[in-house]
Amino acid sequence: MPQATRILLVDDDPAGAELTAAALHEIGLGENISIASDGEEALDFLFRRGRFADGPESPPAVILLDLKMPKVDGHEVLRQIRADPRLHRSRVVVLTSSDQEADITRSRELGSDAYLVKPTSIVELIDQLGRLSPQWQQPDPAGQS
Amino acid sequence: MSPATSIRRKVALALFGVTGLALAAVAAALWIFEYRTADLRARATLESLAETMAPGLIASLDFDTPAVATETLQRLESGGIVIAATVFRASADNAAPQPFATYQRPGMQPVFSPQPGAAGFIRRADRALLKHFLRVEGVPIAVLQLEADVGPFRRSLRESLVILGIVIVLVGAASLWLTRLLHRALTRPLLQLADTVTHVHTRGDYSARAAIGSRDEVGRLAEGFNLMLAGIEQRDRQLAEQTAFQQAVLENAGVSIISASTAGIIRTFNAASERMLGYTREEVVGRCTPEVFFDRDEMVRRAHDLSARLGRAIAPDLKLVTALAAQNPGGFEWVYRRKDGAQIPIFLTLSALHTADGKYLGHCGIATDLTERKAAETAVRASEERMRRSFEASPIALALSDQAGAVLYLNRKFTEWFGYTIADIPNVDIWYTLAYPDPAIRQRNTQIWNNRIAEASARGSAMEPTEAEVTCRGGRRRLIEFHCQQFEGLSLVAFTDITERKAAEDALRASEEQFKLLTEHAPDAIVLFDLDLGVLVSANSAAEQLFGRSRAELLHCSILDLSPPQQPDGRASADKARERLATTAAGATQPFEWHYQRPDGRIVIGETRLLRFPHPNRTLIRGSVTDITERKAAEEAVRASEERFRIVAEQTGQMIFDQDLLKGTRVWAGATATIIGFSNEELGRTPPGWWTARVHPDDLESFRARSEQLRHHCGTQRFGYHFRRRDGQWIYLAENVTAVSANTSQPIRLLGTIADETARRAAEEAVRAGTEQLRLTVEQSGQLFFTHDLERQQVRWAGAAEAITGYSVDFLNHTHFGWWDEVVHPDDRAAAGETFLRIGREGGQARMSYRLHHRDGRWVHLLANITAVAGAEGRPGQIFGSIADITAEAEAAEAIRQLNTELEQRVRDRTAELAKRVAEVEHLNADLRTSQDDLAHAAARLQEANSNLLAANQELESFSYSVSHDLRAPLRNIAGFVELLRKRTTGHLDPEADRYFGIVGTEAVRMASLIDDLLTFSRIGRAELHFAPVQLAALVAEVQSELQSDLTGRQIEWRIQPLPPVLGDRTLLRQVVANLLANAVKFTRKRPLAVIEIGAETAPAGAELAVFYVRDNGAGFDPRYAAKLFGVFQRLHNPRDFEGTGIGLANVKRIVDRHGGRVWAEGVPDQGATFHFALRPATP
Repeated sequence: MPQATRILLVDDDPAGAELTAAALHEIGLGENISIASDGEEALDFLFRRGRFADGPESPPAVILLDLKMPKVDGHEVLRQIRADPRLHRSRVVVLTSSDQEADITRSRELGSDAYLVKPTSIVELIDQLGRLSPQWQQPDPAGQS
Repeated sequence: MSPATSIRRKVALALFGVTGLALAAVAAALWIFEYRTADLRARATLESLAETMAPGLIASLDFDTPAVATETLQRLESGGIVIAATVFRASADNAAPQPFATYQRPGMQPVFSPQPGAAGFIRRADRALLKHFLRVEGVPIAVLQLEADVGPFRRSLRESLVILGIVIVLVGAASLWLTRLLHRALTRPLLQLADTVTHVHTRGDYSARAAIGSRDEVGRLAEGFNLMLAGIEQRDRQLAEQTAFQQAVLENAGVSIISASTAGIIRTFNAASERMLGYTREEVVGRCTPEVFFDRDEMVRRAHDLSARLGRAIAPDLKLVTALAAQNPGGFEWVYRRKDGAQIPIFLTLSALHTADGKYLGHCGIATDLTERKAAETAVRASEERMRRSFEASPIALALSDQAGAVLYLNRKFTEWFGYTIADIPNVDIWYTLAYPDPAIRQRNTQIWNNRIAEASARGSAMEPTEAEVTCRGGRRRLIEFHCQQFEGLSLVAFTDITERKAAEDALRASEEQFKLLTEHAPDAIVLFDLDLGVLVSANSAAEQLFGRSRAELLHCSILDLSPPQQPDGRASADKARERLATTAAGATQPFEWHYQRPDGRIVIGETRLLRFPHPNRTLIRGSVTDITERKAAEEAVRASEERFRIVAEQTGQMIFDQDLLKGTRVWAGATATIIGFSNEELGRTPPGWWTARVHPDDLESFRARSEQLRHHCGTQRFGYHFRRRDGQWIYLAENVTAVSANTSQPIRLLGTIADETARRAAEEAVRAGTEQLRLTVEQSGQLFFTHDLERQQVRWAGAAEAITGYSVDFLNHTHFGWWDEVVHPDDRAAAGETFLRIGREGGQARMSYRLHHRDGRWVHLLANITAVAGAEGRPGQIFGSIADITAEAEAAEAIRQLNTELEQRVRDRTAELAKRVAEVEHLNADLRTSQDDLAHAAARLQEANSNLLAANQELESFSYSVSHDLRAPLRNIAGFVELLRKRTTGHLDPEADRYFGIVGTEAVRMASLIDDLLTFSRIGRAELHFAPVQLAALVAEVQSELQSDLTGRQIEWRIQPLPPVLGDRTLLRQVVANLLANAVKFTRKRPLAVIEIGAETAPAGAELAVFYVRDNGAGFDPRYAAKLFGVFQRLHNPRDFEGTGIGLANVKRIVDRHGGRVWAEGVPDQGATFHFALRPATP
């Protein structure tokens, strides 16, 4: 679609976030990225609270969510996202360093759309995001929220 | 207006139409008139105005003063009509005339322009123009044009139109109302009349009447109509009544009435006809001709007869019937045929039916059923015939004469008996002459006869029979009984020849006399009982004696008078007597017992024989009664005594028999049934030899011998034998028989008793056996028994005397009283003796032991149990004792005593020793406890150390986990940014800088790798093991497929041998396999064809672990450094040659160690390596 896909990137590691943004840029999705550095910020952004009260109306198309974060952790954010019907159309991709079975299962239960373990090399990250991204850039044919 | 339009509508239309039309015409006329005159009026008005103004105007014209003219014209204003007025001078050319003077009403616009031409009046819409010539002397000098507004005129026209309309409407309404009035007055009565007519017509209800609403023509019409209806109704009712009456007559007639039309079709058919002929009305009326029920044969026959009689042919059809009717106006016999074909003889009366004016309608036939009459006639004829025949066949002579005395009829018997025929005796007088030759007798008999006849007539019954002796032809005399019956003026006389009867009666009387004589002196009571009279009619003197009544009294008695109310069986005498008499009357002759009662109340038992006594005209029963009272008493006594005897015999419990040797019969009594199972009666019926047959074969010989003896010699015999009971059981009978004779020595009778001695014998046997057994028991007991009779001072011995004392039982039993005491040991004598005496005094039991001097010189120990047995008066009479030799026991006892003492001593010794041992054990226990405590302490310390260790381990693992985890993030970032940098700077920096970036990146990756391995390694230690059977082959396959991506372009020969399952954690074992295979793949990279083999080594028997190997033909390794192989981060190869962190094998070792297995390796540099690992096999 002509409009750039709006992406929210939630990660407490600023350098890591920058890397992820660069990777997204590589696959052509670097136009419209918002970054939240912890769970609380992410929720404020999504629900237009606090300093994001004047934020954009429409929710982001994709939310890349880290799990291990201070204040509010990734799973809690995920839960709240999925509890809000307004955000149903947003795709949530858990992007975390944890490859623990428990985390994967829990993320699935809470309704994440994909789970990526942060690879060591950025090339790999680009690759993985690239594989995922076609879903984001096309509208959901069934029009489900 | 169509014919169906109702009067109302017609009237309405008429009224409305007429008035409407009239009004419309008037209105139209008025309107047209108005219309037309409006203009005329307008014109007239204008003309007059013009005329009025003319002089003035002319004057002005003459003087040529337009202003005056104008002023004149101005005056028009007041008129109100004129809108514009113009005066024009008449010009010769008439072209564009110049107005001389004008007037125009203010505010109005003239419509007309000056008009050339002649004078006139023009109207356009609401404006009218008058063109008026102003003449002077007839010469027009000017034209006055007046334009006026005729609107008002026209408006009034219109108004009048409206008013007219309203009037029309009002008139129309009025006419409608009028219509209704008219309707009510005129059409409604008519309609009602029409309705009534319809009603009457459709329902036939002549009782309906039209309503009379008014007294006008219609009303009169309705009245007339009602009258007419009344008349009709009455007529109709009368007609109905008449018809009903006639119908009733027809239907209820008992005769069949059928009418037919001229054509012969049945018109009416009444109920009687239906019944007679079987047809229903519906079947025949209108459908058939009467020929349907004429009998064809009859018709033919009658036709034939009639034809013969009349001399002309008559056809056998309806014409025949009419002809017959004509011949027999009163009716004739005819035959109808029923529906079912049966013929009915009838009497038919046929009559022609005519209307009042003589028109022939048809015929009506009335038929009476003659069946019964005919049947009656036939019956009468038949009965007359029968009577005549019976007369003829009668066994008595019959004669029929009339009142005049003429003889009408004599039957055959008459002629037979008397020899006279009817020719001989034309009248009764001649009869008298012939029958009674003697005049005197004749006279007497005649007199008697006439008297009797007269009596009978007077009484109205039959004549009493008379007897007379009649002389027959040839002189023979007959004694005749005459019976006469008079009827219908005729006398029927029956003659019965009673000659023989008389003779018979005399004979009877004679015999009766004889009988009386006989019976009179008979010893038994003989009576004659008249069943009909119910009393005795004769009794002999024996009867007088038996019944205790005189003959005279007896002759008035019935059986019941002579009997008690009840017979011995409880039934009423009356009933029984009735029965007896009835059966006797029927022919029974059995004698029976009867209880009679004398006047004094005494009962006489009579054996009664009844017999039907022949008597011509009475039912007599002859009864002979023998007084058996005494006999009965005697019999009763005998029976009673027999009964007593039987009871007594029964109670003896024995069998008693009485055998008659001459007759060979045996009579039994007693408890036979109980003993042998057969009853006395049955035995009485048994054939000879039956008894013997049941005797036991063993006893048979003696039995026979005894029996034989008894037959020949008197006397008593006693013997016993075995006998088979009814149920097959053998019993022992003891027979006690006495043979008696009359007066000779030969016995004629046997009297015997038989007792069942089975029990006794059995008891005896039992006693004997018991005694024997007891004796044996006693002997075998090994004890010596004695019975010491205290009174008689006797002792009886039994038992093992010899064994115990050395003396025999016999000796003991015969030795002197008191011998026993002498052989008792002197020391024991006193005590024993005292005990014995005490028991003998007081009774009870005691036990004594003492020594006895045995015959062979030794002393024996004896134990005696004595019991006192009560004798007479309750005091001990005997002492019973049993003595046993207890020498052995005594000695044994002694020995035991000695042993006991010994034992006690030993026990004491042992106890002392034991005490010592116990003390020792106590000490040991104390030591043990102490060491236990130490052990516990040590264990606790160990536990503590263990948990410390675990905690430390845990800490280490979580530390290494979190460190490695946390380290990864920055590493990732470093690597990432380096990459970005590289991208950015490619081509911009010098090659060396590029190379540096490359190294940084590579190092970062390497570090990440190291950390990953560290993470994995730590996890292995943390992870819980889940032991289960694991298929190694499956793991190998999985790992192989995973490695596929790394194998592109590689030539690898995989040799995978069968791998038995092992017990372990699948996830961890997978890592082992993955590591080993990855290593094999890695280190064979330099080989053109890599050969990797995985298999299981054959384990020696009893081996606990299964050993597997992974062999490759790769780089191998120096075996000197094999120990380091499995160390953490230990590498035996240069990173230049082969990458890797060196943790893979450490992982493998760790995992295999945790599984309780072992891992080791062999290698040859540049040739290959083999890695072995041993794991617990999964038990199959």
